[in-house]
Amino acid sequence: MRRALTVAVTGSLAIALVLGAAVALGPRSSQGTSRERAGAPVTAEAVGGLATATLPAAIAGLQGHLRAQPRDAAGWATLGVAYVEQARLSADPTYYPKAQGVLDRSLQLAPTDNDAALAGMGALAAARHDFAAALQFADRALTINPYGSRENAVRIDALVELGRYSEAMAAVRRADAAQPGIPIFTRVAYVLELQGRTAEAERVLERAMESATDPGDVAYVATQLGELAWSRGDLRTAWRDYQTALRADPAYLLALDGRARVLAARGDLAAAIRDRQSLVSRLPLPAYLTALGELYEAQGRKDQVRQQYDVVDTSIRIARANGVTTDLETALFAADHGDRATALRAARAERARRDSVQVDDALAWALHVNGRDREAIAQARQAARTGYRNAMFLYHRGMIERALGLRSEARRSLAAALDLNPYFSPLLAPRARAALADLGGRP
Amino acid sequence: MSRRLARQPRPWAVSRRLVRRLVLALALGAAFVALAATAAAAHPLGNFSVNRYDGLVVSPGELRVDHVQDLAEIPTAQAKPGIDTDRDGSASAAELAGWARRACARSAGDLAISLDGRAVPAAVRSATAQLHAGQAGLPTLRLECGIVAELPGPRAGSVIELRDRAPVQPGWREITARGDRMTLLASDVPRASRSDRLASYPRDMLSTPADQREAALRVRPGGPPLRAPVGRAPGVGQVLPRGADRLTDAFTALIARRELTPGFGALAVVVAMALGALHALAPGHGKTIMAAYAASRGRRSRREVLALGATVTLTHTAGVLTLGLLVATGSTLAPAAAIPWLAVASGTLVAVTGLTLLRRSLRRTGHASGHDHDHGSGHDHRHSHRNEGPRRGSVVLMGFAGGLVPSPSAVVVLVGATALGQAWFGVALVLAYGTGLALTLALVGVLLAGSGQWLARRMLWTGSSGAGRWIRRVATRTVPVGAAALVVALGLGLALRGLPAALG
Repeated sequence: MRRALTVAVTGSLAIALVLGAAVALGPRSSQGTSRERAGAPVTAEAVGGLATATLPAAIAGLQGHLRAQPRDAAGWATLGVAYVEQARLSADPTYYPKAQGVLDRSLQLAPTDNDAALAGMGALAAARHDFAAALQFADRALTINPYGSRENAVRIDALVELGRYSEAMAAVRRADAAQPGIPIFTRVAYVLELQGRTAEAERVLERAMESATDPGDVAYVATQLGELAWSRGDLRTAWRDYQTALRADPAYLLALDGRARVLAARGDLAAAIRDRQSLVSRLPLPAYLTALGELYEAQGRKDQVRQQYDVVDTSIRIARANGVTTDLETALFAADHGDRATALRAARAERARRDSVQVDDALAWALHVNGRDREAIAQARQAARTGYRNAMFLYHRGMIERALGLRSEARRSLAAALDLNPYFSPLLAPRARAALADLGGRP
Repeated sequence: MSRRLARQPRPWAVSRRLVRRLVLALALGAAFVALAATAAAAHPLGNFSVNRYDGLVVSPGELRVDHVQDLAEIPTAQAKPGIDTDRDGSASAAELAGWARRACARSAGDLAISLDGRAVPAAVRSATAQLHAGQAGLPTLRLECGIVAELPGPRAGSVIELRDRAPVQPGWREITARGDRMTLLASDVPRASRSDRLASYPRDMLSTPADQREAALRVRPGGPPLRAPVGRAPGVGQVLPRGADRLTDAFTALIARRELTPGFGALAVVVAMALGALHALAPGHGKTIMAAYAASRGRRSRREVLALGATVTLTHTAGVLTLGLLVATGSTLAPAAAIPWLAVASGTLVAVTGLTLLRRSLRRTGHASGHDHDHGSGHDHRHSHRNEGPRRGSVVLMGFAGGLVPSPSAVVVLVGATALGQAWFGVALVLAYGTGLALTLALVGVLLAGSGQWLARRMLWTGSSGAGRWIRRVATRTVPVGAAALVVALGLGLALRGLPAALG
């Protein structure tokens, strides 16, 4: 009896510790690489406050607890959530199968009323870019516990990534009323921004910044603010925000990525390349490799360009071997630097799964590079349906319009792209300027 | 209705045997695919990972670091431009060696080592890199560096610290530490590698990838020399076909820790003998053959058993000594290649012996029908055995085959003892080991021969009638033939089993 009591107490303590941390600080769960590339604000997967230092300790505690108490369903669910979190923090995909196994175990032990495990499954599915499954898991978890913070966060992310913006807005409002906090604030800001309401988004983020104390939270929110400033070409504010983030967490890769972008925009290519080299040596994500390749391309260093793109090709081959559906970033990379047919195939596959503005933009661009500009312009207009202001989207649209001979529309779109953020890409901004001049200048 | 059903043709019943065969074939196919797939499976720690291991050995005067890196597919692709310096799209041996030297120099530079707070520089002593097949036809890289830092005069209580400053990347980071003629008074890292030097990563759900980047050790001079680590030192691990069982491991460890007193020495010899005897009982060795052989010979004399045992012991000891010598001289390739060939040779020898036995027993059943072999025990009708030919020869051949393949655990014992600086003791232990081996084999033979006699007696007792006599006669004729055929089959099986490893 006494033993059981001790066990129960330790167990619930461990759970409370991690759940508290994970829920309070739950990050946005999508991996916003294409958006970063497009220079738009992040849905960064980043991580709220479960700072790099505290999570491993919590995981170790839970592992020990579960070795002693392997029938504790809630403990398994918590560990699953912690693994997903850790995978995001360290970008270490080893944790995904572990999380899967652990959450399965939890659901085996407690097949009903296990909202924690379902929310964990949702977060895992979202981390693996299966947003439809994430939404289903979140909905199932919410029928058990309508106030669950994690399930609400997963649901919002899934709706946003699936392109169901009005439902996402409603979900955000409800979550904000039920559980206001940094994870919800950042999601509110992103949904507002996708509707072009950037000023409101900024106010929400500043409010979040005021309540952020944990270094992980500070880095996360400051980076989002930086992205917002970057998207309108405000280099000075963006620089300040990224530096704030990096002071809070020097290993915060999304802030490093943002700072590299600002450095390149200021013309300091050497420093930008240094940042990007350290980024790809730490985490060779296709988006980071492509960005470095584009910097080299802007410098005319063809050899190095090829090397970076070869590594991107490698990751695409591996993703295919793993049965991972080629996604948004494959489509964008292939459209600009690789095989055009692959680009279209990847974009179409992604479009069949979800209908976010990012996917519309990628499909539009993939159609354009394949010479199918009639279909492309329809997609590009779809991408603008929410009022989202993104320089890369505008550039894509302008180039499609130019190819179709819609001269005045093309001039308007290209000028808008350059007005919004004249530095949106070290490689493409000059092309936008050239195209605009070629069309006879600003309207 | 049921009758009609029962009368209906059931094609699946007809082909049940076929189905069973098909299932077997599928299972075999699946096994092969699984084997082939091990090479192509995803990297257990993800395609991004760069995994690092530092195995520290503190010895008087220097700190040796066995630095290993395991690069998954994407980091390997990132490293490729640095390897393929002539840009011909492939990595030649020279290019790989050059890259290994540069990468090891970088790794040595990443290691911050200090003795009692004073920084000591690290130097690269050896560097090798190998490409392995990874996923999607892409290569992965394995880098091994021998790094050494001079430790001028560590005192009792000296503190050695090491920090691996390599950039933070996703992946396994592991450090281990052991002493060699030095004792670790305190260490914040384990002695043994959880991943077997990045060869196999634990996969259970309740383990976290290792993330050890620094180590602090307090040492004092003195202590046992580091025994040749089982499967760890470059060399032994590759030489031995995953042999040394836990028992042997424990035994070697025991020898390594003790001072050699006469009493302990005697005990060790006895234990080695017992290990040898046990080893002969483990599956997959020559016992079955010996047993079949014994059955085919019927009763045997003590001298034959002795000859068999002596041959096994001598052959085995000689084999182990040769292998040990090769390991000691640092040649790792020759023994690794030799063991499968020895297995093939042993199998062939057994098959040849079996064939001569078969021929002989066939000839015997052919023209020896007039002889009556069912004498009571104790009598020996030499005339009836004369046409069996030179049996001493086949016994020796059998013993030779039985002792030909050196048992890995014996090699471990030998190498362990040699590492202690007591090679002669190791030789004695191996001799004892072989004796134990021979004892078991001989015992099996005697038992089998004995039970054969017992069976024969039973038959004699029951079979005073004509029918019993007939059964007995048939049995005495067919059993040796069947047993000899079994010996041939087993020998061929052994040879065939060794062949793929020998060729590939």
